Order: sequence, then structure tokens, then C-alpha cells
Amino acid sequence: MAIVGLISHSGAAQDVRRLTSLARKIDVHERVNVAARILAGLAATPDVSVCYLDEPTRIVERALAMLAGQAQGSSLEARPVGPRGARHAADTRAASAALADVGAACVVTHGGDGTNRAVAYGWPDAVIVALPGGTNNAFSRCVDPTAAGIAAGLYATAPDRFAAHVRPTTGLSIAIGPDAVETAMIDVALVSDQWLGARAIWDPSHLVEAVVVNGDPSVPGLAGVAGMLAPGDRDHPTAVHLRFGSPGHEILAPLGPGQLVPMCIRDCRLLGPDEMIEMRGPGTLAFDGEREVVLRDRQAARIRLARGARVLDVVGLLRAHAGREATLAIGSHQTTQGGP
Amino acid sequence: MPDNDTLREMHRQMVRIRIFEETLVQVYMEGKTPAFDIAMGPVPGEMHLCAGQEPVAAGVCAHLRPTDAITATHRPHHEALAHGVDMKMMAAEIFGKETGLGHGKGGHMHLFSKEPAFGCSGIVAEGIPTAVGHALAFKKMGRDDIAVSFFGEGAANAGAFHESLNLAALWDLGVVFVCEDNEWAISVPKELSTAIANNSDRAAAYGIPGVLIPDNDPVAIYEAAGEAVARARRGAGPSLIEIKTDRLLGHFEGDAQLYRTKEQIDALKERDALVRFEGQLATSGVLSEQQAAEVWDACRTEVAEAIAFARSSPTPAPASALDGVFA
Amino acid sequence: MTTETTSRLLTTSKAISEAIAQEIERDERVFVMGEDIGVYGGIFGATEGLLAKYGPEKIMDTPISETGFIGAAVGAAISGMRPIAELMFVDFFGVCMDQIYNHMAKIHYESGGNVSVPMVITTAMGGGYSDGAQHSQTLYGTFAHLPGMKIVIPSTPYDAKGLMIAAIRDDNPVLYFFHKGVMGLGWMTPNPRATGPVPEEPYTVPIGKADVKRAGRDLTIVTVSLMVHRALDAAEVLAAEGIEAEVLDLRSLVPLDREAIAESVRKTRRLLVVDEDYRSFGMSGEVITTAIEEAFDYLDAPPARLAYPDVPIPYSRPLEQFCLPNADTIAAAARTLIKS
Repeated sequence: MAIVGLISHSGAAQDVRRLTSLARKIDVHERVNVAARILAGLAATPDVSVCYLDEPTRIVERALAMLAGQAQGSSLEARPVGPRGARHAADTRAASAALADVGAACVVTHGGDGTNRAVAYGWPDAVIVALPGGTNNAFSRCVDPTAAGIAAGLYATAPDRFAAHVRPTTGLSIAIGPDAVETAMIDVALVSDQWLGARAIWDPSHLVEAVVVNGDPSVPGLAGVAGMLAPGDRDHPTAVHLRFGSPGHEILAPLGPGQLVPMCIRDCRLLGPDEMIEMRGPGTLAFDGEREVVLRDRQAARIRLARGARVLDVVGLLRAHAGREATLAIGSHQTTQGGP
Repeated sequence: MPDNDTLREMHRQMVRIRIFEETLVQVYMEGKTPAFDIAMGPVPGEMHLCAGQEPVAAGVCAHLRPTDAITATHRPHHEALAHGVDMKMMAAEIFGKETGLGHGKGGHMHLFSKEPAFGCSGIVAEGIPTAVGHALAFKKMGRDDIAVSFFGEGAANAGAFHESLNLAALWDLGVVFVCEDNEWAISVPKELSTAIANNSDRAAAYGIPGVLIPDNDPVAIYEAAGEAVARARRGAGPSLIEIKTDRLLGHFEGDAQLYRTKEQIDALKERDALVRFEGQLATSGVLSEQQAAEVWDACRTEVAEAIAFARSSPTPAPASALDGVFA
Repeated sequence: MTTETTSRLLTTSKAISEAIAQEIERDERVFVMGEDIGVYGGIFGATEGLLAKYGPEKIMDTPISETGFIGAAVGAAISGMRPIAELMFVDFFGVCMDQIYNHMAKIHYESGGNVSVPMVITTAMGGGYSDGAQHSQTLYGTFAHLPGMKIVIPSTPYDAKGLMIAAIRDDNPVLYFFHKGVMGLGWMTPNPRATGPVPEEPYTVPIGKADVKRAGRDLTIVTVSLMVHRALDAAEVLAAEGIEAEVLDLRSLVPLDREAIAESVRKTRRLLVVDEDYRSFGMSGEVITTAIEEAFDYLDAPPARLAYPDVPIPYSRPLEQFCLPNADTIAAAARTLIKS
């Protein structure tokens, strides 16, 4: 039995950016709908079972019920994994680690960059199918949820056959003090003030400096800012060290969804692969757009490029699979090559 | 982000509210023992205390003017105090004295003040439409004052909540709707009463922004409330903030709390937001332990004076019950 | 008897809308909210023509949200406006009664007089045209029973305008009941008493003061609203038989003009109360008890009442007409009272 993990929760796309930008809300019904569509795709491959994050809004349970109520009727073995009633990032990390323990082949996520960061932290070798379900979705890729489920199911049952569609990514490691190592998928920023507060960053005047990997001018957030200055892509990631403030280069940047603000970039430099950047307090470190760790006066954080999470290229896998053979269990004829 | 003076003021508000509530825990029980008799003692009737929920009041009210109108609930003390309602007159009203806000006619669930503009109601959710009305009046008068409606997660299932959000959104009114989710509607937990995950999701049904503050953190509440208040003031309309907060005490004083375990209650005390905030203020150098102790002392004095004022104030003449029905 | 020295004739509904118009012009704090009170002019014509004259800021059509908009009227009044909120049919009070009796009526008292709620709720009442159990009630007894709100019920166009202006100017919450049968609507059974002289200039009729609509010496008929018309019709028939009935129009239920009741009973010594509201536990019992308390020694016969029976209002015309007091049954009850 091949196992696929499914992590979706109602804590993403909820925060103050609904007020400070045009960030949309993703309510539980939409999350249930997306989860049900993922599960429909997973159910297409025989011998796939699902291990999911148990969280108070019971997204996956509701999605399973929705799936069972479908006319074509599909059933899927599914069970919760990790801490019960998961509410915080630490719970997501633990659930991700639990997926590794049960031998899951990959994990489908529907959340924001923070969700994926927690998954990767808990299970560094995870193969992630990341669907955009947060405020800034720089790490994830837009793909139909059922297609994502089909791809994940196929991969789980034949990981060697589809190994070519697993892509590495580059992330960041942040060492704070002798023991603590944090990770980020996209960016680390130092903001002034020493409070986590409402977590998000929406006032550019608070930004001191940032290291951004996977800059992409087509997404909001610091990834978009870096992407505008030094565009790279997944296959050729660039890391950029930014320092904010004047005097500097004035740009209009999408700090949040629909939130174009003037920012002043004092310095922008490409980083080499082994380069380390040190950021010092007083201030607060934000990972992937959310304030996480307060740095006291003179306290240092050392940031390096690091091996990031692995992602499954859903589109590439499905195209390759379609070319080879196409047998789907649900609602289709058997098609063999060579035509009628 | 709040500046240091604001942080210290928020802390002071939280401390004075906590001391007031803890004092009432003792005072309320006077005269009611050995066998609990709700009608007896200097503070008869029901008592709903808000210990644990101080961050909501401190974080939101930091942005308000006295002319901004608040409507609150049967658990109103933190919002009243943080908005600037006179503590002595409030205590006297709770004691049913002539010198109280309502001359003894209202009591703890019906505290009214003209300035600061404050009112509350003992009927769940029914204060929400009143807040919509305040904002409607301000808009018609061309004032940039705003209205804030505080209510619990239980109220979010009542019709008045839905009618009010629809009206405020329809007429583009400057109301900030604040849902204090302390998880418990008396004994019924939220997952047994509410069909959706988070009440902030409900904002989408009315086309207004909804924000979830997932923990009882005064600074997070301050930041989000600041954005919502600024939005309302500049005429950009209503918004909904849902705050997961903690009700440390029972629904009412005398509540045996059989619906939650001692472990659950102890866990709340472990994460007491006031204790946590004080620790953060000390670590960041905003307020030393010594300074914090001074704040506690000053607030203890303030509360003691308010209670003493209430105790020593005269009771209203019985026949005054017949007065004041009509203006 | 109120002296009406003008020959200018208006229907009751026109008198009401004229009163509101004059107050809107005099006091910018006055505005109207309700369902279909704008373009439609109010289902029973109470706000006809006002939207065209004063615009949607002053004349606001609301969604079907009685709790919402009546509660909003409470808040707006506390904050210094002088709202008029229309409850389309008094029968609908069930969906918003909390705002009326627990909030509007009590806040002034609970605040020890610090806070005032200067608002008017206008509402249509009454039956006789087969609108069934949920659209034909009068219900003023229910509201009069609850402390904190004044209640006025005009029966003539002159009283309608004067009481509306008085209600708007009163700093207290006032419930203004208008019977659909007194409005002079073209689509209801014609009622000649629904049209009457109304001075053009603004004037008030005192709240809490009853009015002798017809002086008499043989019995007193106490009533309100449409039943005043029926009593006057009965009085004409009785006069031809040599019975002179005094018709006392209470005009207000709260405050109740107990002295006027007592004075009339002391004069005529016989009391008949006519009440379109349900018989038990209501206005008729209150008036009779007042007479007994204030003028017991003057009564030559036990007081009598002709009230709507304690049944839901039936739909079929003969059933409903059986229940409603009318001129014939009032005259018969008067004759019985005279003989006893």
C-alpha cells in the first residue's frame, strides 16, 4: 500500500493581510472542496492510502464525506497522522515527521509558504506537491487539485519510474545561536522592532534587510521584490541580499497581494552558493513573510543557502504518463496505444 | 507596531482589569456563603468576569477616542475600563449604588456611559445592531468617529450578527466587529455550535475583510485592530476581527465549570497572556520587573479605592425605582 | 372635542407623511428607515412622496432585517440622530422584539437617565380585510404592558399629524400605531372618517391625553383607532333611539389618560370598552380596572367590554367579521349596558 500525505488546515490565509492588502480569504468550504478534489485524484490510483493532518476544522474528514457522496462513488483508505487537533506550525512539523515515519512517498499540501516550510522542516527529504492555499504562494504552483492527486498517487505507487519528475529546490538555513537552526523556503527578512505581533509584514519602512532565494517577479512578497531586481527561476535559483532604506533605488513593489508600495532599496547583491550573511539584532527575523524569531541586541543569525525541499513536477509527470499509458480507474475507458 | 509608551499603557490596562476582576471574584462571594444564594451580598445577581481576555480590550481600545462608540456584552468590564469608563462609577453601579453609572438601575450587564461612548447588553448578539446604528449616525453627521462591536463566538450564530454585518457592509459603515472567541458559550464549545471553522470566514459572506488572530497576543491584536480602525475611519467600511482568547474563570461566578476539565483550565493559566506579555516587556527592556511591580501596586490602589468608593456610597432610595423611565 | 378650524382635507396617510416631511425640514437629525418606505412610499402610504423630496439619505429602504435596522435606529438615536423606523406590520414584531422592549425601551432607565433613545417606531395594525392571522393583529396591549416606551394610536388625520410630530420631538422611544383601515387607502374598503381637516402648519397633539370625540351623557365608550369610527357610527344610531353615547378616544395608551377615563365615567356612570385587540390581559381590562379604581362609586352598572375574542384571526370573511366589533354590535352592547 503506497501512502500519500495530505496537509491542509484553516490557519492559512486568515491574517491581518486581509486588512492591509487585497489578500483574499480562503474559507473552510473552499479548503474542503480542494481537499476533496485532491482525494478524488488520489483515489484514481489503486492501492493508495492517505495519511492526513488532524486539525480542528476537520477539512479532510469533510472532504472524504463529500467524496463518498459523489455519484461515481470512490473510496479511499485514510487515517490521521501526527498530533490531534493541530493548531500551530509545530504541530504541522510533527505531522510531517510522522509522515516520514510511516513511509509516505510524498505529501500534498494546500497552504501558504509557512505551511510548506513547516512540512519541509519536519521532513527535510519530503517530496512535496504544493497547491497555493495561503496569502503569498511563492513556493507552490497553480495546478488543478485533482491532477495533483493523480500525480501524487502515481508517484507513490511507482517512485522509481517517476523519479525524473522530482525536482530539488534551494532554500535557506538560518543558524541562531549554537543549536537553533531554522529554515525558510523563500526569504529571511530582518525587521525593526522586537515583536512578533500579527506576524505578517506590511509596512516597508520596517524592513532592514533580507536574503531572498527563488526570486520571481510574478509573485507578491519579497520573492517578487527580489525577482524584479534579479530574476531567477527554479532550475537556476539566484539568491539576493537586499538592504532597505535610503538613499537608494526607489521601486514600486508588491509587498502583499494587490498592495503595491514604494520601497527604497539601498543595496542589492547576488550571493554566491557558499556565502553566509549575518544579520544582527535588535530586531525580528521573518521567514517567508512571517515574523518568527526576536533577535536581542547584538544577537546574530547566520544565513546560508541550503538544500531545500523537493517538489514533484505534476505537469511533467502527467504529460510523461499520458504519453506512455493511460489507465485511470475512475470513469474512463481503457485506452491502449495504437488507436482504435 | 506599538511604541514603548503604548506598550506600557496596554500593560497597565491589562493589569488594572485583571486586578478589578480578581477583586470582584472575592467581593461577589461576600454574603453568599455558606450556601450560595445569588440574591445576597453587596453584589447580588449574576457576575461575568473577563480575566484572560484583557488583551482584546487593551489591543483594540488603544486605537479609540472617547467619541468612538463601543457596544459590548454581558462580560463587559475589560472593554469598559480600557475605553476609559470611570472605574469608581462602574464599581458603584456593580454594587447597585446611587453613585453608579446608572444610579443602580443597570448593574453589571447594563453599563452605559455617554463619554466615553459605551453601552452593553445582556442579550447575546443584540448589541451588535446598536453599533451599526452608531456608525450610521456618525456617517450622517459627517464625523470620522467609528463604532466597535464586541461579541462572543456564540453570538456569531445569532441572527442579529448576520443582519448587522449585512447592513454595515451594504451601507458601508465604519464598524469594527470584534469576535472574542473564548471557545465557550457557557458550557458549549465552539466545535459543537458553529458550522464553519473560523468566524472570520463569515466576513466573506458579506464581502468584508475578516482576520483571524489565532492567539491571545496583545501586540498582534493591537496591530490588526489598528488597521481595521484606520480603515473604518477613512471611510473604507466595516471589517471583522476574530480573536482566540482565553476565559480563565467560569462563565459566571459560581459556575462549577463541569463542562471543562481541571487540566483544560490549568492549561489556560499556563498560557496567561498577561504573564507572557509582561515577560516580553521585561526581555525587550520596555518595562523592567521593578517597573511592572510598581504598575501592579498603583493599579491595586486604584481598584481598592474604587471598591471602597462603591462600598461607602449610598444605596438609592427605594422609591427611586419608579423614576427615570422616560426622559 | 378638538377644534378643527381648517377646511383642508387630508387622508390619515397623507397627514402622517406630511408630518414626517415637516419634521425632516425642521430638524436635520430626522430620517426614516424601513422596508419599502422609499420608492413604494410605505405599504400603507405612511411615507408617500418622501423619497422624491428628500432623497435616499433621509428615506432609507432597508433589507428584511428588522433586528438589524431597528437595532441600528437605537444606536443612531443614542448617538444623537432622531430616527423613524417602520415595522411594516406590527405582527412582525416577533422577529425584532428584543431590540424594541429590551433595548429601545430600557436603555434610558438602565443608564440612570444618562443616555436617551429619541426614536419613533411606526407600524401598521388591524384587520377586517381578510389578511389572516399573521397580518391583521393590533397587539397594542402587548406593547403597552411593557415599560419604557410611549404608545400613540391616532384615529383621525388631525390627530395623526399632531401625534407624529409630537412623537418625533419626544426624547423618548414612541411606538406609533396606525390602523390600515383609518389610512384612507384607495385599495381598502372606503372609510369616510379616514379623511378629515388637517392644518397645513406643523402642530402637536399632546401624548398621553385622550380626546372626547363625541360628548354624551348616557354611557361612555372608550376605544382607539378604527373602533373610534365604529363607535361614532354606533353613537349616531343610538342617538336616534334617544341614547347619547360619549365616545372617548384614548389616542395614547402609554401614558394612559386615566383621569379622562375617570372623568367621563363619573359623568355617564356606564362604561363600555371596545377593543380590537385580543380580549384577555389587555387594553380593555386596563381601562375597566382604571374606572373601578378611580370611579367605582359612580358606576351604575358593571363595566362592559366588546373585544376581539381570544382566537387567532381567521381568514374567511364571515369568520373574521364575526369576531370584529362593528357599529351594530357596539350599539347592541350599549343598549344592554343601558338596560342593566
